[in-house]
Amino acid sequence: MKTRILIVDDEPEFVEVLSERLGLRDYDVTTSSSGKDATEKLEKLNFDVVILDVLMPDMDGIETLKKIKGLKPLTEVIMLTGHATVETAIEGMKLGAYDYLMKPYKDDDLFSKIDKASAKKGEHEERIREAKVKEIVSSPRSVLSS
Amino acid sequence: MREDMMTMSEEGFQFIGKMTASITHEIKNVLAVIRENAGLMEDLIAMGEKKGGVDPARIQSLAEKIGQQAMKADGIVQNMNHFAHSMDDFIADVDLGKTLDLLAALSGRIATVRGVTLKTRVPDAPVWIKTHPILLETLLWGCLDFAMDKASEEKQLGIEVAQPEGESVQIRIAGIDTPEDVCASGFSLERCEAIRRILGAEMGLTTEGDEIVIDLPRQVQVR
Repeated sequence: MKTRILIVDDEPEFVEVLSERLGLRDYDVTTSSSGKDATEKLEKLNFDVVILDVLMPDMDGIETLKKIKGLKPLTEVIMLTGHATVETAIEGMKLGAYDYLMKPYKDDDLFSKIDKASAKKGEHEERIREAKVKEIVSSPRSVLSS
Repeated sequence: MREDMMTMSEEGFQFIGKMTASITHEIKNVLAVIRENAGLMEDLIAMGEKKGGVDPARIQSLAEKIGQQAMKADGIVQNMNHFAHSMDDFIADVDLGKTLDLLAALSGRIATVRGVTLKTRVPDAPVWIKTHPILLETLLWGCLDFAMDKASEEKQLGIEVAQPEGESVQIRIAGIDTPEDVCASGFSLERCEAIRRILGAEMGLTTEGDEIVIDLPRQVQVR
């Protein structure tokens, strides 16, 4: 299955080109220009990785990150930042973001972080599945009560 | 006096730092777009090698986008250069229209992040005053910062030079919605008070509390 990515950034030209480049690499890409729009999309759709700009009008990166983690705790978030906002990105990692990247970044750094973040989410989901199976095997009645 | 110097320096350095951080952030954004466009060009060429060719029109369009971003970066750097040169002389002849345009350009990104748009209206002819350029910019930034916080529902601030023919010149920042208690107690920016005194400026709010009015002497008194 393709890795589902949501790009959230208020710079339309950046979003457009990054989206095309990720599409060429066979990622399934959706874009969003604000934190508010991103959370609305997350309510309806599932994503493996969110690439999130730290500095945006309307809803800033940290607020958006909290909403994302509240809605979809397993979705991994990579924060994009300029120099001035590295501290915010670090704060984001404390709040559960997978990692951050400073603009402009090296291509390999971005693609590698996306793949690692997606793999981490996959492993986490697998562990949850295994735990559920164990629970069912050890106590089949729990299926009826859940 | 010593305390005045300290608050003035603190406010001035914070202003310069804030503007520099915002400008460099903007430049990094432009570089990121250039980087992505160049990367897409590489991707398309690499794919074209496998598929037997790449559409020249697509490459040309990406090259044009890179050129446009380079021009955008040039505009940002020019503003930064003008800002840096406003510190050349402690007292100088200043065209208020140009100063307002520069300040609006420098603050553009900060305003956008705060959901506010800035619109300047300046006379066609230059409005010259002799003043302390960097202190004037610091004071105006203090007022603009206040105005962004108190912007009315439309979230659009109009900044203009008014009464250019009078004894003093006036700068007005419109589009704010000031709480009644601020209107009643009179408008002042404590952090800019020392700068205001050195510039010989008078500041206040209109009775409706929707505009900040700053009166500046045409020639600052040298102490």
